[in-house]
Amino acid sequence: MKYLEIKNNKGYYFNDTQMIEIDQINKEDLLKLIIHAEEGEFEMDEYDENKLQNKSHQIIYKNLYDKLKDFRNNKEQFDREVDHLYASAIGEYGADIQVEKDDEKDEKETSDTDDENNLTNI
Amino acid sequence: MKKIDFHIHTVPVNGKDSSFTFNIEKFQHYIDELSIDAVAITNHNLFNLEQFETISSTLQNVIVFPGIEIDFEDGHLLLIGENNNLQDFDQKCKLISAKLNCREKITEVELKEIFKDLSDYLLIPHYAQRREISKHVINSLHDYIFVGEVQSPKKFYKLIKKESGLTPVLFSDVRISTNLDIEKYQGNQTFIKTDVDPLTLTAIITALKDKNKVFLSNLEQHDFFQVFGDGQKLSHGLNIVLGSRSSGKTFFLNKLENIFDKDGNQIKYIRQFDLIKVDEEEFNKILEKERSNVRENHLSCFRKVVDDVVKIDRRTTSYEMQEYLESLIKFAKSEEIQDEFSKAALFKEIPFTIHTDNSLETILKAIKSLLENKEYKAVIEKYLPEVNLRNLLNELKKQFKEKNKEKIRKLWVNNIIEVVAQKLHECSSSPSIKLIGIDFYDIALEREKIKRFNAIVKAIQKEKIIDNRSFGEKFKVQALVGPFLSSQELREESKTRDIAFSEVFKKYKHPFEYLEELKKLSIDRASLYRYFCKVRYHVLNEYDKPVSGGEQSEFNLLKALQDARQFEMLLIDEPESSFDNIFLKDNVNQMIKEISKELPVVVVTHNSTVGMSMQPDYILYTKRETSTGNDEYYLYSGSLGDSKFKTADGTREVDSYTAILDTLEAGDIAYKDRAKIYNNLKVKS
Repeated sequence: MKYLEIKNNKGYYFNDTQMIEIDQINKEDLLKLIIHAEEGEFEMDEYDENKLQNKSHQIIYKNLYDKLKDFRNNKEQFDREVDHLYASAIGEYGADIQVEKDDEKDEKETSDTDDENNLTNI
Repeated sequence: MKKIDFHIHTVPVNGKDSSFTFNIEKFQHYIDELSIDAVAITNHNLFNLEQFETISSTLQNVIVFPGIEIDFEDGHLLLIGENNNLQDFDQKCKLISAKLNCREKITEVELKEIFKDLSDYLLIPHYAQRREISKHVINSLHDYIFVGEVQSPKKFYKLIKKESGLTPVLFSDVRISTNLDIEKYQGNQTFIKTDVDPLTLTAIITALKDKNKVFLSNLEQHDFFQVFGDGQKLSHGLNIVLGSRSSGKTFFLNKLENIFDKDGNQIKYIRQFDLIKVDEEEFNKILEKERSNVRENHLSCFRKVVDDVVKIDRRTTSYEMQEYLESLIKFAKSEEIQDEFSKAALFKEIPFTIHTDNSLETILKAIKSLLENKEYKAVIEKYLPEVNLRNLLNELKKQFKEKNKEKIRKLWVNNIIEVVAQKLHECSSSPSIKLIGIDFYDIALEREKIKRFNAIVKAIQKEKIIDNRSFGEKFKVQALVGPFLSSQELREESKTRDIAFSEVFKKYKHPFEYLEELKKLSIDRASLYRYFCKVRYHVLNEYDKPVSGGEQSEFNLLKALQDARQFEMLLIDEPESSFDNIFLKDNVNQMIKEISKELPVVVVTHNSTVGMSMQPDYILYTKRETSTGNDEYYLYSGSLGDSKFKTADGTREVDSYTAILDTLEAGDIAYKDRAKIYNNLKVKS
């Protein structure tokens, strides 16, 4: 899946539904990009000034591209670190990390409606 | 037999003693009432010659030896001298006092320097008690130290039975003051077997070198110790106190407590009805306290996770991302107005990301461990020849060095970028980009930590039995982990009423958010892990059912008995008043008998199940007799096989069969009548 793209001299990013111009990016979308970069397939158009003439897009695209590329380059080390993260506690208590929701936002929304009375489902 | 007390204070010393006024008449009463043959004056770090001479010349019927209690090495040492060269002893003690005026302790070397030949003195270190002197110091002075002062008959009995080791002695450590309660110091002296008369220090030293000549009673038997000044003794094992109502049984126990529980934590005293007063809430609190190690063990892994996750500050991360993007977009949009400074590449250069990768270091350690292992050297050599391991180690070491070099280079470059970019920003009129401090790697890792933390919390909140252990024959204590069910429970956990948990509890189902809310409360961060799951303890009976009120009391008794092993003596007052016979026979008797092998046990009873079934080592019989309108209380005693029980002075005696049957079976006739009834029932059934 391509998450950063250069097309018609402009930079774009994919926000899980569509390609949006790079100068519209906000922190929620950036977090999604990091999550995708952390997981499986993650593609980006290589930064190329000739293909990307829009000057402000150049700056934003290059900055994000370099940072994401750097992160992808360290992915092996990242995976290794994550594999060992709290491994003994996960083993000790039989924690199931697969069922944990990725979208922290969803969780936040549901939590606001909780009260002491609906704890029986824990 | 001679009775000696070689640990007596007559001068209060600042910082060592509470203030008291010495009284010579009281000292004479002390000697007379407790029939002591020899004493040593052992004040803290000083010897008062003038006072000693007064004491020595005034006291009657006792030999007085000069002594001093010295702050020696890491403990306390009693040093006692012969009483024929007091000037010399005084001079030496003055040197000790002078040294301790400016320092905290006397060393072994200094002691030898001052007292020259230590074999002229009796040296008694504190032993198996507070302020005891380390074993290595005692070993180093083994030519001069062969006696150790203990604090209880239990410790004395344990050490006197050992073939090797120091001879134990028990002394009073009394302050001879105007308001001295002499009764409190009965049973705190040592008996030695010697025929030398008058007593000399040499004769005492000779006796103390032989464990067979040192006792706690005048009976020449190690199995007994004297408890009262009149010579009344107890067995080091199981003692049963019999007697009708109001004959002085509880009074007897209280008296023992007064004598042997000076600092308030040497005796376990289970008073009548004590254990049935505990209510449900109190019962659970006791259990929780008792078993807190189960929870701590269970949560030790989780605690480490919380200690790490608590450092995550999601608000700051979010703010930094926002700031980064805003500054980046602002800078990009102002591209047209960029000047020569902002056009420089380093103006918007991104620093290298540097992460610590420990994997190579771990491998290097593992290889070194393989190379250094001697136990499995042959097996390792078979599969991984040493030469290969060494080559591998060298190659990986090179890589490790290279990686380190690269890291240092990157750090150096980052430093330059930071310095140059800062200068460029200062000179430029273009908006700056907040590049430093935002790292996608860290953001992603933080997210993974939260994800795992949430999963771990949900796992520890699942209801599960985490500990299940038997308690006696009848009970089982089960520890169950599960969620907190209300904010009230959280408040109970915090043990304070000052923190309100109701708002925080609304986030309880969402562990990380809940943690962030907990962080806002005034709770010590190191104890935050305690607020995620609750460990509840249940006591189950032999049918795996929760215990009833009566069974709770039974459990409390068993627990109290188990605790008793840590004490110096166990006193129990009428256990039958709170418990039925079957429970006592099946669960309690055996336990008490076992405990009596470790420490002296005294049980007051009217009950034959408790009284005779345990086959006591010694029986005491209390009796109230009224003559000429006055109540007189007598204490008789003897062993199980004795036909007569006698008072301590031997002047009165009772028939042991009558005494036992009167107390436990309501007399001979009632006992025989009951036997007939039981026999008839048996025939009919």
